[in-house]
Order: sequence, then C-alpha cells, then structure tokens
Amino acid sequence: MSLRNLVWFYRRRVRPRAVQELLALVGIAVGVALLFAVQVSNSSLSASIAQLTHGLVGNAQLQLVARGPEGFDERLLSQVEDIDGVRAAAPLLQVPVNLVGPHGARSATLLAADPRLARLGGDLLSGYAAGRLASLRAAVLPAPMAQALGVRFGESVALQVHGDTLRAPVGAIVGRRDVGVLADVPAVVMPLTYGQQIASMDGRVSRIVVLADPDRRAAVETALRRVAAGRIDVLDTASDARLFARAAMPNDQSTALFAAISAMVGFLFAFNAMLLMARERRRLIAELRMSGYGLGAVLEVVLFDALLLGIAASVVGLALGDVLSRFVFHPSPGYLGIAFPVGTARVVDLQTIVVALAAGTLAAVLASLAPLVAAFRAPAMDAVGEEAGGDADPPLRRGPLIAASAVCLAVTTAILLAAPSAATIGMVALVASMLLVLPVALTSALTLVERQRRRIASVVPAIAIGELLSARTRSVAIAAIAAIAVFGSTAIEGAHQDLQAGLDPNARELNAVADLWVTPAGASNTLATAPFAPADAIARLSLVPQVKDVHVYRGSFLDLGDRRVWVIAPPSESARPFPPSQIVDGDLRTAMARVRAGGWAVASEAVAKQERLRVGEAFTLRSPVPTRLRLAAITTNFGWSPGTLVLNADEYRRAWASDDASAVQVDLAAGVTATEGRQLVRAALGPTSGLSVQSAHLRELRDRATTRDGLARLTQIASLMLIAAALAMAAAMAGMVWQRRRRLADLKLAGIGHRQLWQALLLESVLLLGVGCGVGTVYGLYGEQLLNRALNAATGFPVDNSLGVAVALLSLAVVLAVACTVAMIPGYLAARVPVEAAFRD
Amino acid sequence: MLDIRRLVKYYRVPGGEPVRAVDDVSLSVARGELVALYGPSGSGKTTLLKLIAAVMAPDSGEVIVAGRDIAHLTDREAARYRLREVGFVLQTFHMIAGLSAIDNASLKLVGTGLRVREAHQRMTPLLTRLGLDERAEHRIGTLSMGERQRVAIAKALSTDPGLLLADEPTGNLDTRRGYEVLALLRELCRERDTAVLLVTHDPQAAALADRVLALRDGRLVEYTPDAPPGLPTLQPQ
Repeated sequence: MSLRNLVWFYRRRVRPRAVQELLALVGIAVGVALLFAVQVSNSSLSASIAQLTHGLVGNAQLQLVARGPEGFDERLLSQVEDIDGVRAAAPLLQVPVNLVGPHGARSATLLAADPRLARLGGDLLSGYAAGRLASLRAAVLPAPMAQALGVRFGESVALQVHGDTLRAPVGAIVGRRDVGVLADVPAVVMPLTYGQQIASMDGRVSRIVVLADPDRRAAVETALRRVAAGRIDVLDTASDARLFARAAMPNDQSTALFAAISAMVGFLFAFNAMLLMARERRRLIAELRMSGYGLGAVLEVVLFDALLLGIAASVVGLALGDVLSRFVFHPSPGYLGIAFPVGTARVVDLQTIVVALAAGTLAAVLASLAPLVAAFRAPAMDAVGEEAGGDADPPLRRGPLIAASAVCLAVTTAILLAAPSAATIGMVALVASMLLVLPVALTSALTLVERQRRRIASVVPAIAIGELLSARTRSVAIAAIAAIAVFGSTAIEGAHQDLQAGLDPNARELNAVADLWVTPAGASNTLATAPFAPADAIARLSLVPQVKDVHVYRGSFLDLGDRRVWVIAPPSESARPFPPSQIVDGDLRTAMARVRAGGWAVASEAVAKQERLRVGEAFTLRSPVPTRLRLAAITTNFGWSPGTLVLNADEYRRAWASDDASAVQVDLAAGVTATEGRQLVRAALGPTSGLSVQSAHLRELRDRATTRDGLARLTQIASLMLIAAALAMAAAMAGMVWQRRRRLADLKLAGIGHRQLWQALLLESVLLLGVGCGVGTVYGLYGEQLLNRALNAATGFPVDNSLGVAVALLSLAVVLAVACTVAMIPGYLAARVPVEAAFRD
Repeated sequence: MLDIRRLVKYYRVPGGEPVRAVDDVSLSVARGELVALYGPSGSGKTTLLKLIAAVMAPDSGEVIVAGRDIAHLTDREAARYRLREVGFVLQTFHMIAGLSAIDNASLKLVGTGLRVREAHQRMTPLLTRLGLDERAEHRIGTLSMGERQRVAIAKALSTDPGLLLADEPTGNLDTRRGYEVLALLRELCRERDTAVLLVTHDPQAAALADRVLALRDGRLVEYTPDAPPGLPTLQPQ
C-alpha cells in the first residue's frame, strides 16, 4: 500500500478518536520518559569521570601514583623523563581543599600542575602559555565554582587546606571553552609550585603522568616500576575510571536494577495505554477485512498506525524525560564525591536515546498486534458489531494462569535464596507472576462482589461489575498499572529504608568513640580522610581545662587493585576501634584487642575476598611503606562500597611514613556538654584554623545525610513511579470511561440518573484499583526481601531485613487515593453525557 | 396516552436561518395502539422522539403523556419519567456486555429500588414471553442480534410504561427477523395496553402499524405507502 494511502487511513481513523489516541500517547510517553531519565542519570557520572580523566592527563597512558595523601618526591620526575621511550611526563598535585567565598563553602580538589602537562594533550592547561602559568601565583576557578562561592576575577578566595586557612587571589575564571569538561569539576587549579606551597607539600606531588612511545609502552612500564621501588603505584591512566567504576558499581547496579524495574513499568504503562485502544483497532481491522483487504495490507495499516503513534509518543517521552533528568534525576556524585573529583555534567549518549525510542515504539507495535490476532480469529462482522454489546474477551483459564504464576514465583524464590545478584531476573519473574495472577484475583474478587450484588437494591453495583466484566482485558490492564505502581514503590522504598536502617547504627558506632572530632573542614571530608599536622591543635587543646583527653585519629584512601579502600586508623587506646555491630567473621573482643595492640588489621568482606584473606592469615599491605599485618576479623564495609580496612593509628603512621593526622578525637571532662565543649575547642583553635569541630552526634547526622544523599535516587525512582502510575492510570481510566459515553447515555435514557452513573464509575475504580493495589502490595513486600538480598550482595552494606508494611500501606493508600481522585473527574464529566447522545450512531 | 399539540422545535444554525426540525406537529397515540411515524432521513422523526422522551424542550407546543405535560421537566423529573413512564427501543442497543440478558433487562427495575433477585423474578415471565427463557442467564455478548433486540424490548417494558418509543428498532436486523421482532412488540404492547410510537423510514415496518403518520421537513403530511416490490406483504391487524 502506498504511503499516501496509509496516511489517508491513519487520518480517517484518528480524526474521530483524537482524545483516545492522545491518551495512548500520554501513556507511552510517560513510560519512555521514566526509562530515559533513569538511564541518563545512571550513565552521566561514569561518562563524566572518563571525560574528566582525558581532560586532565590527555594522551598519557601511564602514571606513578602516590599511595597516600602525603604524595611523593617530585625529583622522581627527572628519573622518569630519563627512561627510554618516555615522550613526555608531567607532575600533578591533587589535594582535597575547602574553598570559602562570600556565598559559602565548597569542597574541591586542588589541582596543581606545571606547563609540562600541556604537552600531554589534556584540556587543563591547553589555554595557557608555559611561561605565563609558571609565573602565576593565583588560583584558577571553574566558572560554576566561582559562581557558587560568589568570587570574581581579581578577588581572593579562602582555602582551607592541611588544617590552615589561606587566601589566594583569583587569577582566572575558566569555562568549558577554556578547559572542556574540567569546567564542571569542583576544583581549583594552580601552578605546581604555588599549589605545593599552599598545601604545605613543598617538593611533593601526587602523581606523574607519562606519555610513552606506543611501541615501547611495556618497557616504560617496567622502568617505571623500578623507579617506584614498591612504594608508589604504577598504573595506566584509565585506572581512575576503573577505580570509580568499582566504587560506583553498587550504586550503578542498584540504580540499574531499579532502572530495569522502571523500564519494565514504563513498558507496561505504554502497553496498557495501547490496550485501551484495542477495541478501536479491532474495529478498524474488521472494517478493512469487510472491505476486502488481505492480511498484508491490514498489517501495513496497523503497523503504520502503531509506528506513528509509537514514534510520536517516544519523542514526547524523550522531551519529558529530558526535563526529568535535568530537574529530578540530575546527576549527583553523592558519596562518591568524597573520594573522586566527579563532575555534575549531564551526559546523554546516542544509545540512551535509541533505547528509549525503541522501547516506546516496540510497546506501541506489540500492543497493536494483540487486536490484530484477535480480529483475524473472529468473524469480521462480530468485530464491527462489537459496540452493540459484544464480548471480546475469551473465557479466563484460571488453572494455566495460576500454574504459570507459581512457576515464576518459584524462580524468584530460588534467586532470593541462592543467587541474589541475579535480582533483575528475579524481579522480572516476580512481576510476571503478579501479572499472571492478577486476572484470576480480579475475576475472583468480582465474582465475590457479584454474589453480594443480588441482595442490593441499587443499580450502581450492577453497572460497575457488568462494565468491569465486559472489558476484562482493559480492566486487567488498568489494575496492572496500579499493581505495578504499588509493587515498585513498596519494593524499592522498602528496600531503601531497610538499607538506611542498616547503615544508621554503623554511623552511630563509628562516631560515638569520642565526644568531639576535630578535622580539616569540608563537606567532602565526611570520612575524615584529609591530612593535617596535628601538633599545634593538640598543644592548644591541652590548655583547655574542659578537655579531658585528646587522641590522634588517622585515615585516608588506599587504592588496592580496582578498589579505593577507606583506611580507618583509630587511636591505639580506643575502646572500640571499629563498630561492633558490623563484624561478620571473627571474635569481636579478640579482634578489638589485636587491632589495639598493633600488627593486626580488620578488613571488609570485599577486600578480604579480593586479597584472598581469612581471619588469622598474614598479608602485606601495599601502603607507602609496605607493611606486614594479620587479619583480625572481617566486617561489613561500613557503607563505603569499595571496602574498608582498620588498623591502629600508630601502625598507620609507620605504614604511611607520616605524622599527619586526619582527626583529633576529643574527650570532654565530666559535666561538659558537647555544645559547650565545641565552642571552647573552636575558640582554642583560633580564627585562622582550617579545622572544623563537630560533636559525635553532629558527625553521625552528617554521615546519615551522606548515605541518604547516596540513596536518594531510590526514593526518587519510587516517587516517580508513583507519579507515572497516577498519570498512566488517569489516562487509562479517563480513556476507559470516555469511550463508554454512548452506553452511559443509553442508561440515562433508561432513566438512570447521572449521580448513580458517577457512583457506578467510582465503584468501578475502587474495585479495579483495590484489587490491583492489594496484589501489588503483597508482591511488593516479597520484592522488598529480594531487593534487600540483592542490595546486600551488590553493595556489601549492612541491611536491616524487616518487612516494610508501613511503606506498603502508604504506597497503597497514595495510589488508591490519587487514582480514585483522578478517576472522579473524567467519571463526573462522562456521567454528565447528554441523554441526546443515545440517539447518535 | 400521548397527546402532542402544535409542537415546534427549531435548530439554530450559526449565521443562517433557523431550521424548523419539528414544525407545528400535533398527534396522539392511544393505549394499546401502535402508530408508525414514517419519513425519510432528516425529516425530523428523531427530534420528535427526543421531545417526547424529554431529552430536549420544545420551542412551543405541548407533549402530554398520561395527562401530564412533560415538555419542561427538570433533569431529575425527566430521569424519573424515563425510568417509570416511558420505554425505549433503539436501533443500536448499547448493553453492558459483562451482564447476562436478564441482568441487562432488569436494569431499569433495579433502578426503581427493587433488589436484583426481585427484579429477576419480575422479568422472568416477560423474557419467557419473548422466547428468551433459556438464554436469560447468558452473557449478552453470546446472544444473536435478534435476541439482543428482544432483551432491549424486555428492558423497555420492564417498568410497565404507558408509552413505548421505538427508533428504527429493526435497523440492524434482516427482513425476516425485523418483522418477527416488530410483530412481537406489537403483540406485547396490545396485551399490556401500551401505546407505541414507532419511528421508521421502512415502509414494511410502517405496514405493521395501526396507523401511519408521515413526516416530511418537520411537518405531518399524508402517508402514501410505496413498499418496494418483492417484499412480503404484511397486513395490519
């Protein structure tokens, strides 16, 4: 059939059904938007770190990387440059700082480089002449950072670094045109010498990046290992992306899991929206057949129709998803920003667009096939006369549906018990089980109500139940939307709350070991990993009578393989060197005693597994000074997904060859409150100190806020699912009710009042959504258990395995209330259809 | 039973002259009488039916049903009037597919406040009379077009209305079935003393009536039967 004819058919069909077509379009668009927004949010951070690495080190392939925050001697650069096959090498200093401006404070990474970095082809110094940079004694700020701080070119910015507060003039403000994607990174750029001076790291660098001859790369790497002498890591430049990918993996896995659920929900929303149009499509096909069109021509017409709708709806969905990803799902580095200089750029790749477009179009095409099959099975005249009261749905086969549902449930249970990492498959099986059992549940519920109906002297239940039974496919489709919404919301939000409940005691135990914590300021120093020289602070605090005791706490990040491990080094005299509730393997009292004594460490499960360690075994820690330790116990990862390692502060000092502290823990004298103590300690440290003072309770709250921030995506997904469900249900219910106006007019002609019709429509909504939400709640609670197991396996976080009944009931109430409220409006309007409509054909 | 006096209904056309859809029509239908209102499409038949059904108000004139003028009822009064005093059989029957034949037929009775069981008891003799006793519990979707139209008649007569309005009730049926349905309708109405106004443009259907009135351009004119050759000859009783 020619395109012209196809368009003619489409216009002829759409013109009188524009509202229904619009509702189907809205349903598909909502599904596509949800899928697109989650995908964009998920891929943006990973894409951002890869772009960032390239922007920083250009074409360099190899690098020497310090194992600790104290860096290494920059004189190694000359040795590196002397290696045969090294085309260029450049030093780089990376130090966490806290920037303070008139508008507030922001955590950032101090990136200090010299002109040699420009030779590697990165964006950072590409706009600067070598001589100009070398002579510059100022800070260069990315424009978004300068704007956030409220500082302008020529003004100065305060830097809190290494425990001190210093001021640096702002020598330039750069944007994307100057430094590419680096403009989106929370950073401050300085010439190397000036940066070293600011950070109290004269002669030290964090890494040396190396551009080698491609054919001599292996030889260069071997030579670099000789220079590193086992105290510095030799890595390829992609290692940053790998470390980030590993750190982000649990987040990505859980978001991907929830994205898969969202996609499934989106697809089902779209599919259900198409089902609302099934009757019209069946009639079109029947009319074509009556006019003598063969299967090929009918297929062309139907698929053209579905393709047009699918593409149009997907485009609208992409636009809606774009808005969602900008304002709701915007990429946020969250807890990962503590250990990685992650940008906040939104990266939308072609694959994401294609997947969303394809999903929307596929939903439209698949849904259009169902009426096609049904229309070819039935005699054409039946389909044409369907409006006169034909029953299009075949009898329900309960046995096979229940059996298939049970098989799917068995698959989920097997995954729950044996392979929680395959949770996506488990969730798909669980949703399949729910959707298979839903028609049975709905029909059973209607049969129950039907029995009661005969005793009632009202036309309302008769109309409601009759209508629900007369369009079972459509009724099930709408109940399915409600079920999926409650299921998704209950499972995701329930699992989220269980995760939070598991992390909360950990935050308390980690911080409650001291009354006050004195640490370098900055939001990114939540885990107390930034170093400072503690001597001055300790001297000042010892003069405060209300301070009973001070202890040095040390900690930092250490890259072990692909893991950026959080090293925790509490003072030797600490009563609880690690949170007692987090032990997984080993004896608690023995392990604590051993960590305090030294020579022993406690590792999280993932680290122990990677290093193939069991409790009691010895290993060499790849610290700046490689150190022999034994494993005292295995714990959870305390909420830091790449893993943790606990050893005492003295051991750390030897292994890192540094006297720097990460925090000073303060015990207050009896009777001194945390608030009083905090004020006294702040005063003792003086106004120029770059240290922040926090009570244990305040740190606990900040830790909780950080984990909440990291898990916020889950709540966003659960909430959006509810919003999408409400929209989809509004569209579905409105479509269902609107299509029936002629029948409603007939009932009005028979003397049934509009109030009774409205009540019947409301009863229909309550029955339909009640069954859908009820089934969704039961399955949602099961889904929560599966997600708990999956999250525990993926993140290693402690998870509190409770049953989120409150969350489930809340989701149920929200969906039911929203959907019924939404259904009231089209119901009211449809019930007011003029009686005159009964006389129209 | 039905007495229409000088009924006028205009349709206002934007920017044009008002169209007289019903122009000074007067007619009456007695209890037990079947009157056919014959006319081509656009002659004003359906408008006249809507005025009698209290779906719209006339511009002038009276519609007296059982001694009461129903021309200007409120919505609530009109609904009550349609529920208890008048029945309808239309060409297209939009029934609730999920309900059985007896459920669909009982809807008006349940609307009057009867329990479903009681309504079913009341409907059973009528359905039997209509030859639907064995199909009463079947879903409406499984019934033939002729059976569905008989369910529609049962529903229309369920509240024992004094007046039954039928708008092309056999339009969706073949000639033989159409005749059977009309004959049954006439018989039932005679038994129940119900006045019937049958709107049709089918001369064969009109031939079944006690009286035939013709409508053209909104006005009653003299009826001249012009049944096409080859159709069975039906004699009014």
